[in-house]
Amino acid sequence: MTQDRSLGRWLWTGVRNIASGVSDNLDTAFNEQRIRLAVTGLSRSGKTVFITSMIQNLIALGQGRDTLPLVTRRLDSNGRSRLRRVTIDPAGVQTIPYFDFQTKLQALARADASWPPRTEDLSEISITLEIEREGLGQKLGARRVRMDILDYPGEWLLDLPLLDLSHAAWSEDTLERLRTPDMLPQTGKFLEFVRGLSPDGPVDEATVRRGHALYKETLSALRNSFGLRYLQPGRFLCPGPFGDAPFLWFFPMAGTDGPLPHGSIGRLLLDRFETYKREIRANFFDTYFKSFDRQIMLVDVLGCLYAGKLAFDDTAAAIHDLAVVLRDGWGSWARGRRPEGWLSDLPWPLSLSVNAASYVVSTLARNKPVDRVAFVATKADHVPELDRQALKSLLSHLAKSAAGAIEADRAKVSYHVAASIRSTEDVTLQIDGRPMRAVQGVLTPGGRARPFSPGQIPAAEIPDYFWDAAYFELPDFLPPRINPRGNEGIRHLALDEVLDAVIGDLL
Amino acid sequence: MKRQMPRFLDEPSESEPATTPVARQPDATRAAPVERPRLYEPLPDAPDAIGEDWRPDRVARAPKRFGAGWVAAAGIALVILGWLATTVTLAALSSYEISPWMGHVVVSAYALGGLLVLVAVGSEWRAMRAVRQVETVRAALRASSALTPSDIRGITARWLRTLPGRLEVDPMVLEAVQRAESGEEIVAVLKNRVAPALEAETRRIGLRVATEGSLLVAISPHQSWDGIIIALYGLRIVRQIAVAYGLRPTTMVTLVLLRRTLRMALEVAAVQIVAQGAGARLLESTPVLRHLAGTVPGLTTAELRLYRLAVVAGDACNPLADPG
Ligand SMILES: Nc1nc2c(ncn2[C@@H]2O[C@H](COP(=O)(O)OP(=O)(O)OP(=O)(O)O)[C@@H](O)[C@H]2O)c(=O)[nH]1
Ligand SMILES: [Mg+2]
Repeated sequence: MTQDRSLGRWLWTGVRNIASGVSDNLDTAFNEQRIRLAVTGLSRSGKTVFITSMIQNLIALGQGRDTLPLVTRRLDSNGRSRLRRVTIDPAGVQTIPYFDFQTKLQALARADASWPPRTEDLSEISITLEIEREGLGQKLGARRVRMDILDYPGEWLLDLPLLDLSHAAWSEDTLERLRTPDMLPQTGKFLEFVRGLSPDGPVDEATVRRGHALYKETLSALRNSFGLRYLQPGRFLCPGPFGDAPFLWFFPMAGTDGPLPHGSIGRLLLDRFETYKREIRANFFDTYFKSFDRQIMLVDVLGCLYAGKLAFDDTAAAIHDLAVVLRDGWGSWARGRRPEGWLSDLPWPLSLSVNAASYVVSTLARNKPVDRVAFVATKADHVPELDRQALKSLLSHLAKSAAGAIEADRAKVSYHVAASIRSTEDVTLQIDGRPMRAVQGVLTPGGRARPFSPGQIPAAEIPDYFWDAAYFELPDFLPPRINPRGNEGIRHLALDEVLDAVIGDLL
Repeated sequence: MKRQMPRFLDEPSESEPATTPVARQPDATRAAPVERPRLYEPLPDAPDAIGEDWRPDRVARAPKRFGAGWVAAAGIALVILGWLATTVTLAALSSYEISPWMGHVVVSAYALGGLLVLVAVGSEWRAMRAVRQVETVRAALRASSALTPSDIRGITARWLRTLPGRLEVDPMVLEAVQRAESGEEIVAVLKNRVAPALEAETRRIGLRVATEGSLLVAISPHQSWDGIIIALYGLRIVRQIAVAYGLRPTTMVTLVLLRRTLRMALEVAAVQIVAQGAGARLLESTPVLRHLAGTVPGLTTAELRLYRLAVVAGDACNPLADPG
């Protein structure tokens, strides 16, 4: 008897849950717009800082502080903001680590503030903007714009151009780059080593591992002494969850395109290279990195300009090659994938039609190219106001080939000069009795602000004599004072301009 | 900032004297040295922190309005209630017109109906109160130093008396609680003499239902059913646990417990993500489960999930558990 009653109630609760599930889904369909925002950039270009500052400023905006004036203007309706609230979605049951926004913010806002450490692994965060509709739609209540944002080590991005290459083609490119005369002091040892190897030779595990170790050392040396970024494969510099798995133990070597006997070194390298491509595809690009709707491409223009011609050309090449991959739309490599799991287990005529349908759907909807791309020269707080134009035109010069490819896909491309966390203020110096524009910021904890002049910034093609000067590292100013409770946002430069260009149409 | 005006260098300007440029042949191959980036010594009035000027204005926000949905719902509720009230009143009046006796019968029938509804509401309310009591006890034990011992004694004794059947506490324990001199002592008595039984009960129910559920999963005709089976069993777990802890699982109570359980599960999950970092699978990485997986070989994923749910649901009903 009680059993019966509780069964009835149990059923009733079940029905109610199903009903609320249905209404949730309807609500999502009508009121929610979900976009995936790609914050792209080579290593140290400022991705993590950008994401942190963007979220914090949006949250403050949601609490009624005008931290992002251009976005506020978008949201304005008769002098009032339509933005109701901005929230970070709670962690659900995702299998990707959560982007730990709070910890990063606390570290930046402490008295002994520090920049976030190098990103070592993938992480994701979603934020929701609750926005009132305009006009008659107002009666329908608020709608939501939900943004999924991914943070990852910049090194991994450069595996993207690698996906389309064979081991032979990749080796040819890489070895040629390593033979650049200026790099020889760092790369000579490795080049020597591969010259002494024959791809047909029998596998000797110790030799292969030594080659791998040498190649890895070479990559680190290039990164540290020239500030180079275009270093492949990305997992050699930042292994992430793979650790030191054996399939990573390969290196570039000429002559792997011919017929290779089983058990030869060339064969082994080739197999490992193919496995590497497959693994990063399955565990990174295909899973988390496709079907982005909007893209923000961060470029540390100043950093590579000061690091010398090698670094500058290297960054330009990296951006160009990324653009070539992007040409057919972001995620083009994901097209033509077979549907997985139970779909492919269906009987033949059914599976054929399901395949066809899913192909159409994925071509139409999922893997569509990005709508908007914003190129951003980051850390622009190192440059006084009047020189920022030059920086902007240098950026567009640098990104020209990349942008061309993307624009062909009918995406909107825009250029910006921004600082996610503006750590300096503009000042005028008197140098030899002449006024000079500069910025000043604090370099050491407890110290006083020091002026910095970025020197001349070429606005387009860079003449050779520009590179005569020595390598110069961008001064690392400490972050400004940040209110840790965060209702005032974070001091930034033109972050609102970037957001307006990228998501303005959704607001 | 003052603007540098264009001028010929051999003519004086208001701020600068004339200079004589050193004559040099224009040379196409050797351009002038480029101005380089450099750091200077601090200015006399240099601040020691940047960012004092960052004071974003306030933005006016639109006052919150009720959406059309709420207005419509309120309207419909009003219409139905009004209609019900008039119908009942008119029906009563017209039955009195037939005969007073008839009128009495009809009115008492309505009164009885109303009473039953009230009883149902009352029992729902009492069930909810029991759930809230759990939270009161939890809060009292957590802040045991802030409350007087007699308050804590009262709160816990009231809760202990609600524990049913299997969990009914020994009168000795009640006495020990009454005799306790301080909050800490009460907490110690509860932790040592009540908590183990509660946890054992949770585990018992959890293992039983988990096994049942995973058996169903094992024989389920298609993978896509597994989720539904687990969800339904999850519901069942929460209700059984509630019963075991002396809470009556009415609809409201179930919903509240379910929400609390989910929230706890998420909190625990969040803490563990932070603690364990990279790619750890949530359900499989929690300590209880790893332990369990070690001691009970062959436990399936479905079982682990259901069992885990039981543990969290138990924590939600058990004020002695400290979630997280
Ligand atoms: N002054 C200033 N420095 C910045 C700004 N953004 C980034 N930086 C500096 O650039 C460094 C790198 O920024 P990150 O955001 O960690 O770079 P990332 O792209 O996430 O780098 P990886 O995680 O290694 O790929 C920071 O440690 C800061 O020193 C900015 O807006 N202003
Ligand atoms: Mg990072």
